[in-house]
Amino acid sequence: MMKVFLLGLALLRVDSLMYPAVISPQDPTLLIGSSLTASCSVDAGSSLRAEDLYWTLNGRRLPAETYEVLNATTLSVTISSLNGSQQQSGDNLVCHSRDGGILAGSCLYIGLPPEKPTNISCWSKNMKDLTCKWAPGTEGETYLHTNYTLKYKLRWYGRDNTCQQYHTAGPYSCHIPKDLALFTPYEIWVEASNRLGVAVSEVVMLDIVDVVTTDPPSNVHVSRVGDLEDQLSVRWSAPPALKDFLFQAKYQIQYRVEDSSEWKQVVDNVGNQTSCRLAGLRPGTVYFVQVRCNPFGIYGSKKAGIWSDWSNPTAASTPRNGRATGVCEPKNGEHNNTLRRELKQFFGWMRKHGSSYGCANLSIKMYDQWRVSLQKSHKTRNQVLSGDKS
Amino acid sequence: MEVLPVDLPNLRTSSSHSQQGIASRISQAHHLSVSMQRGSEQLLTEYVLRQGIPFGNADFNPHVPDFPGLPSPALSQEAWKDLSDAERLQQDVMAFSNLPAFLSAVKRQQEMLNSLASELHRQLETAGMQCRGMASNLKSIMTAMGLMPEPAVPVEPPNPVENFSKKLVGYYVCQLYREWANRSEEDLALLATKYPL
Repeated sequence: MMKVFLLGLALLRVDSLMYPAVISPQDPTLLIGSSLTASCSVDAGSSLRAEDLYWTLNGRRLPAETYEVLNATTLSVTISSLNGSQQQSGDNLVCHSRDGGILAGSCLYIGLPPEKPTNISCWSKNMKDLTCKWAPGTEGETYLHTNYTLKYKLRWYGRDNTCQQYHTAGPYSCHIPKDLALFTPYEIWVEASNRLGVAVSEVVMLDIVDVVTTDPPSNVHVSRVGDLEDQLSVRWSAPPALKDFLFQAKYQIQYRVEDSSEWKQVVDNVGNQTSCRLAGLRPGTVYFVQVRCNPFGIYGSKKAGIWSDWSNPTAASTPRNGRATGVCEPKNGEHNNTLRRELKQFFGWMRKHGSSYGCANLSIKMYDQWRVSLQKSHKTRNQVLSGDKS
Repeated sequence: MEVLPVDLPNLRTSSSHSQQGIASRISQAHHLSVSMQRGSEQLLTEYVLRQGIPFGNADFNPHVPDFPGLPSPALSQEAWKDLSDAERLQQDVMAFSNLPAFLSAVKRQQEMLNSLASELHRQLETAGMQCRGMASNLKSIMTAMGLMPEPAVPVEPPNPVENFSKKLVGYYVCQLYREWANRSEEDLALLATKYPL
């Protein structure tokens, strides 16, 4: 009992040593541009008088004209047109004794209420989760620490849920890891709050299946096409997590030469195509190739999905002997007109030159050889027409 | 030459192994105190930065009060020299046993006041852990020397309501931590001369 009593006394003594004066108000919150009148009252037992005191705000002495002696032991100060707070912990308004000693302080929180967060966008990785990001909606600063809370609920029923995992994709983002429903709309919004108020964004509505993204395609292999010096064959597998669902998936391929930073992009492949032949490449050159996937139409969604990241670059080199120009050559006859015309010409050529080959010996190798000879003649013609651009 | 004030049974007959054991513990604790000196300087710098001016100003020098269970280590040179090894160790043990509670209170307050200052929170956490380590090291040195550490005094770190008072209290705690880190370095450096490796 005695120990507690002594401890209590000791604390009291510490208190009056530490706090020889009192400022009022304590920790006020104010709008930028407003005014504040604060008072500093020294301890009755102290030898200090109001005339002995002065004020500072963030270390800057406040002019004596703004002071008023309220009574023998109390001095007030009036500060007008307050600027926004300089730090999150609040501006330091301090009452000093004549020798500069600190008698008391009060932290001021000066700023603006938050504005509505905007530009909410969300994506789901393989339909397992949902990540959303938003913009703070304040062009300038609020000067006050602002908390953001992402909330969501099923549109037709259910209670509000609050997202818990923040800053997963930048400072204004949140991740919902599980327990999401498909084929039903969610309402999603963001609440911003600080000491001066709350602002709520517009509500965004979405179905998880309409904002799906996935992993990059896997097993990307790039290989030569026989001896063809202007072509490489790219093959990949659908991203494993969704591979059984990607009936209408789109893929994009981009490639660049080893010493260039400029990527050339190849037009979307639609459907179950998991290969592409790049043509018009430079011979004897190392190329880096990447592929990405958009799970368009997954589970019947009518909306475009969200492109995955690019796969890690895969490198391969074209053999050295030749030259050309070009784009992704379709392996199957989807882009039919060009291929059909070429095949027609090929068969015509066969009739003329193919007598030493039996029909049974018709092979892609011969077709390749024919293509090589075609390119040689194109090159000659292009050189004559436009100069060598290779 | 100072005579240790307690019985060290069988000191003459104990192997140099136990002397070496004490010497190596003292050396280890001394290394820790040097690390804590650096850490406490960094902590104070980070702390004042986050509280805003006048904290951190060259002329910002409020008197740091004693707290129950965490007094200032300041002593005159003579008074310090007059202390026995046991007294020195005991004072250090008490300070480092109690500092974690104060540092933890400051960390909680700063998590509210400066929620974005994660580096400050991390440094406060690390400081608390190092203090616990130091207290444990010092107790084991005392035990190896045949000394009995006094039981811990319960401490109640101050928990002011007003934010400026929170800032001041945190400042005092960081200052006291730095002072005790410096004091322990001196104490252990002196002990190391008496128990060389």
